Amino acid sequence: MDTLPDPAYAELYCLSNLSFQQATANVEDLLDRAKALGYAALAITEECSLYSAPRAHVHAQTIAFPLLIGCTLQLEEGLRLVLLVEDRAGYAALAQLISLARSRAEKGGYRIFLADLLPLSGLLAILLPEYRNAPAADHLVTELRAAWGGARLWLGLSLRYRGDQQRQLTALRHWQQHFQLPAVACTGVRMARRSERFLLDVLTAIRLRKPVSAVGWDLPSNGEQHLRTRQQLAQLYPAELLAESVHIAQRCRFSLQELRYHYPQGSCPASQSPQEYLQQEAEKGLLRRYPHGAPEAVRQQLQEELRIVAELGYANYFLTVYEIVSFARERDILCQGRGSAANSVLCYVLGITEVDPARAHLLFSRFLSRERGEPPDIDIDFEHERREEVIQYVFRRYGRRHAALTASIIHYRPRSAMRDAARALAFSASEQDQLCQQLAWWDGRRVLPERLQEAGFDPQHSAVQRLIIVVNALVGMPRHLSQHVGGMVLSETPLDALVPIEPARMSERTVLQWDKNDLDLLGILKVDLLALGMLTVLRRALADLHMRLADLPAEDPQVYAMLQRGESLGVFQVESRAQMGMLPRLKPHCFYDLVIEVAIIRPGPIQGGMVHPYLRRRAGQEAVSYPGPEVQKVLERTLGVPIFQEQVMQIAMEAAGFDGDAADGLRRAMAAWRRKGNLGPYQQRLLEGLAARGYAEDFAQQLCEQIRGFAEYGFPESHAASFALLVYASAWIKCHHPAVFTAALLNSQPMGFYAPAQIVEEAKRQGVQVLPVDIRRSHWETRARGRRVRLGLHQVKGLLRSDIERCLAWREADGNLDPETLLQDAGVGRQSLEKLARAGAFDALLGHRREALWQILALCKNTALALPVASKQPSTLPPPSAQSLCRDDYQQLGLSLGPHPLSFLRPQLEREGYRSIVQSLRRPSGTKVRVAGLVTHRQRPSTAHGTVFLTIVDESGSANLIVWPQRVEEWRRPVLHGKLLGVLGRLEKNGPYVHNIIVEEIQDYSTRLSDLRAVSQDFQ
Amino acid sequence: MAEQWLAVIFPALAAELWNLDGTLPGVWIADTRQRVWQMDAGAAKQGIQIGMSAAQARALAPQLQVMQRDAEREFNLLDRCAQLLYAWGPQVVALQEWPHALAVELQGNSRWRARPQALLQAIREFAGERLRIRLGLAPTSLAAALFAWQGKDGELCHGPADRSFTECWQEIPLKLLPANDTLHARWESLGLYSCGDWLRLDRRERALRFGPEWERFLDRLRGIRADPRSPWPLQEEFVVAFPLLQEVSDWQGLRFPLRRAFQELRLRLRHRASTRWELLLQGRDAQYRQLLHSRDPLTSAELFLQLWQERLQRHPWGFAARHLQLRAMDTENWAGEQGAFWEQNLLREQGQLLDRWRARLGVDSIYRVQPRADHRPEYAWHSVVPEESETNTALPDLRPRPLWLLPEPIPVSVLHEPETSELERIEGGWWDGHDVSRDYFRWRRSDGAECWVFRDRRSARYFLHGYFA
Repeated sequence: MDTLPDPAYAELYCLSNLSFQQATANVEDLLDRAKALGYAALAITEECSLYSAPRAHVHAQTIAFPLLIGCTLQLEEGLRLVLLVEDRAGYAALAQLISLARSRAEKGGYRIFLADLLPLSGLLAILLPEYRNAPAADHLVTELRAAWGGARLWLGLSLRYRGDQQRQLTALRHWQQHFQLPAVACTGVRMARRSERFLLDVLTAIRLRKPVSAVGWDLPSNGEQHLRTRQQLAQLYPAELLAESVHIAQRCRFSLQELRYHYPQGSCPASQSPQEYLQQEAEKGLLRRYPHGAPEAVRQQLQEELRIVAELGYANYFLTVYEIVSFARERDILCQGRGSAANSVLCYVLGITEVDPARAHLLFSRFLSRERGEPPDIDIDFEHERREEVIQYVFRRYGRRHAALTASIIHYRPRSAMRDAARALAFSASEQDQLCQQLAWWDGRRVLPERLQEAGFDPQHSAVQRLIIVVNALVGMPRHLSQHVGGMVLSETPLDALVPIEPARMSERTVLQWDKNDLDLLGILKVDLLALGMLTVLRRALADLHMRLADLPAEDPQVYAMLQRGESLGVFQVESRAQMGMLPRLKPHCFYDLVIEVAIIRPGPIQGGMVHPYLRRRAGQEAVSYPGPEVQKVLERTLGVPIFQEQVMQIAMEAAGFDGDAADGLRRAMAAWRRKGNLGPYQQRLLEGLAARGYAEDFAQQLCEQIRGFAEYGFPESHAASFALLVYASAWIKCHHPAVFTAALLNSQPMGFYAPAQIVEEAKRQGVQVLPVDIRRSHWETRARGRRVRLGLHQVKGLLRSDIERCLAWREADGNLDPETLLQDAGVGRQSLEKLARAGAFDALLGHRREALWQILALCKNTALALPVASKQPSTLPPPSAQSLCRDDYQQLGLSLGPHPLSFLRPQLEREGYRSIVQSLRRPSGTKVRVAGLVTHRQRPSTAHGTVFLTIVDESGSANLIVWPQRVEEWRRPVLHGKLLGVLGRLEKNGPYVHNIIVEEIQDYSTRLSDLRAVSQDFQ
Repeated sequence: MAEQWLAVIFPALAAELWNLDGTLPGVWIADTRQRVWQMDAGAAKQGIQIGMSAAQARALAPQLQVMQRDAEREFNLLDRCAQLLYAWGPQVVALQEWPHALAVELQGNSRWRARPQALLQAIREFAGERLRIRLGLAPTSLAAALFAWQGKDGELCHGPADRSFTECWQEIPLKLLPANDTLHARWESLGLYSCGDWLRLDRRERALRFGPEWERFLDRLRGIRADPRSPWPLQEEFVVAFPLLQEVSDWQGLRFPLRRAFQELRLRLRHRASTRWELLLQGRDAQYRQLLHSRDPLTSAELFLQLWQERLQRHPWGFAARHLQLRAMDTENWAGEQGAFWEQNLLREQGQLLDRWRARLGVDSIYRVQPRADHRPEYAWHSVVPEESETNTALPDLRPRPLWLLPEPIPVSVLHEPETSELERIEGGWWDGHDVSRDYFRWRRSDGAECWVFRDRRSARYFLHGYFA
């Protein structure tokens, strides 16, 4: 029997997984599937959003398939409808409508009314009313029909085998006749394939916060909401309803390509073009930076950069960044730019960055390039405590409709997928905890049955098997929309006509509906306004020294000598244990060495096995060689070893013949590696390209490994250069003004690797005299004078700042500082006084802290009723012992200026054979040593394959311990939670400054500390 | 003669109750701040400590079980222990300063004086291997408890034998006192470590600083202030038993003695009542035991007899009973019921009707059918006890459903393929292992019956699942 040809059809009602927990398939799968099924077009109509529009647009273009942009809305009055964009004006209207609806609700929700729709043009609507009701009763459709006319409205029918097809069709005819509207078929797609039904059920359960078994009627009754074959549709729908879908699709010819984005003009005077103004400001800046005349190479570089900026039309972008940075400088907010475009002469002379190109000898190969088509990339770091001021300035300066933060789409990772899936499959709360806890130790994106077995679950049990399937299906799916850490988009025209804007969870912030990566696809520029703790430290320190960042003398040999000794506690980026160990080996002696130092201890170079070859070559222990001339060109400045992220891309271009587009694609594939787990088509292309140019397969494979490493985390050279400047600046202050540096670090806590106790110990080692908190002399902040530091009252835990401000004002007014006066007259709270007493702030006034506390405990605020008064006689309490003082110090301040806690235990430890750390580290390499100390750091870096690194301190110094992975489980408890450890181990020395102890035995002596508490920071 | 109190403390009862059979590697319980509140010996061995954050504890020993407190089980165990202690002293009290602590007054107990080990042994046997206990002996219940906390598991602690209580109570560490963390920190910062350190300070100055309640506590601890506490309720058994005047083998014969037994029990119950009753009939060689449940506490003799009649006529004992015993179980306080004089209490009558049916047919035989939100027809209803409240879980739209749904689908031969437009496709159930994928339609059988039939989409076979008419 001949079969009829499949009818033409376009699906006009389809949600992707970017409607979060409402659909399963991503837009790429949906478009591919629609094309494979021979659909005429596909409309992506997310629920009140355009989250997926850019991705869908790019993929539709790639596969040359017609895409319609639209969205699904549920009116507050009850009607559900699909809006489709017909033209450019319709797109702007839709984006603004979504922004309006989102602005009326909390994050994640929306509220929209029929009245909002009535004036809109450029849009087509498919109405999805309840056909069970009589048409005459529906005033919503009546009103919309009256406002829009009959040419832009359709009645949509979604048939999904509910047993009432005939009744629905009959009802539809009545509605058509009543309203004189055409009808169209649409599915309401939520899956690409029927097999995804289980996932849709789980997502529904997650959205409704119930187990799947309790969702009931809210679950779809079958799996028909997928992209069905046209033959299947022909069996369900009358032919004219299917044909109408194609007519609608033909009317919607809008493409996102039509969007025109204009960068705002910034503060450019009307009499000048942006390019002229930029040139003028650059020339001024050149004079400012080089008062004695700029080197010719720098001048030429600037002209070249200005030419490229003019050619690509990015003058406004640079002017905007210039304006933001200028605002920060006016407000004394320390900031610094970084990124590929930031490390240029242009940015240096505009004051966006402080990296002097003449000093850094950087190759500006990643500055704007027409071939690569990348938008300019400038990240600006601000002091972490004042970044919000800058963000709010940008909102004020450009207006809420012209500025917004970019979104960041958060995807399911194994742990979040496990939590949500276990909840949806009705696992108990404690089982969920247990399942998720196991995942903390996992690498990779797939959940394996063996891991669940380790957690005490039977992987053969059907419930557990279902869980594994669901978790693995969820991993990688979009979970929710978040705001990017600091990416801001600015626009000359209203932004909400380009991309819908919605409120963020944080007050006073608004977020675009597009992910930061999607902005690039449409050439929308963003500026990253990021927060950096070290800038706060530097601002405080420089203010104390009455200096600016630019005033710091360059290339100071004393600074490099200090770093070469590994004395970098508190120094930006090089204070970690790994960096401290690397400094004496790398021996930095110039700025570019710091650039390398910053970039080399990263997962990229470590996983790519590049650290040791670089060190050997630098030390002259290994010859510098290159696998080919193209590679030599790229890697010459790093001795033949790729250290920076862009070097890998450059190799792909130079040695594997990638063109600009392919290199850009490779860059994106690298960025997506963590999400997708591979490089996609670029891996094969890379291998083939290298082979064609005669490179050995080993080299090609090694390069792929290195790319993978960089995908985990790697540093571009330009970022490393900007950071190196902060390394140098912080090291210079530490080297020459350790007291100022210590005060600034303590005042900027919490930040960095080290707790106040270690910062103070380091200061003492540098010869700084640290003075205790004193109610007569301390301020809120820690202050430095000469080589002395007076601890600030902020260091006392749990103090109310308002109480201390009252107290300080009282002191300024020469008020009496005894506790009773402070309570009764200055209005300081009794709890604050008690904390001050226990921290020793009244010691100088009242003798000892027990006496002070005794007096304070008897105080109570004066009332109208006479209350019994405590005697004024001093107590008979004895002064506290040194141990007691030490314990109170740690409890109240987190540090002690008195004897180290270990000094009280030393006699007993000596008897047990433990020697001090400094004494032990003096012994030759390879000898067995026995040391004990308080644990200050625990690290288990992902690049170390399970090895745990511990740092312990005693009264003499600190030691680095290495616990090999095979012993970690055996000593799990002391390694994870031990506060005081005794260790027998083998001393391993590498030069005069790098000492490690390879642990052979561990004893947990934490109970000996009794109540002494050392502050430990755990880093997994 | 000075009083003598024995304190019995279960330091980890809440956690240990979950692992009485020792099958779990360890158990710990978190408080509302997500910190470890209590753990058993297994968890302690793994390094779990009180006050540790829950996340830390999980990271340290992920194999351990985290449990919630079961207040009822804890109370029941303490109650059993209290009943045991009542065999040794006239007064047993709960020391509410700690979660699981009891004390028994032993003054004048000659058994205790003669063989103290017998009581200690009985308590240790009660605790068994899985429950840790601390035992303390002192002239006051508080001092006994603090001695117990100072001692070791399972051993009796009563301070040094060669010193008087007046001397040794001063050595009790202040950190054992049930004060909050702030107060403990204050004492420690002031260098006050023991009750003796406390005593050396001026009483008025102490009270000003730490509050008068601690003065009172210390006074009660020393025995210089009365420490009145409500005694732990002594469990009473509400049983009436008597021999029957003549052998009884049917309901008519039993009715009168049963009424008498009920009325005697009512007198003893006073302000208490019961919903569970146990009847024991003893014959020459046979015994008959029967339980009766009622929805509300039974206070009316007529209703009581009516229910027993329903039960015993349906389940006769079948021998000549010579002895009767009636026990009221799970008694609870009962203050009677308020009712309007003119209103007919329909609900009460319904309840009594249900009780009668249950008495006749058994508890499990009476149920109500309630709809459930599930697309699969056989899971779209379930049976519930009649008292369960109704939930609105009816199918939200008007899809056709048969009047009679078969308990199980029956394979059937269908002679024609259904029209696509007639099909209702139902899929779901993968989450409980009963996944279905079916196309339902109406089918008029040759005998005229309007059937609800489905085609299983996996096997392509047809099944009859219900009848419309």
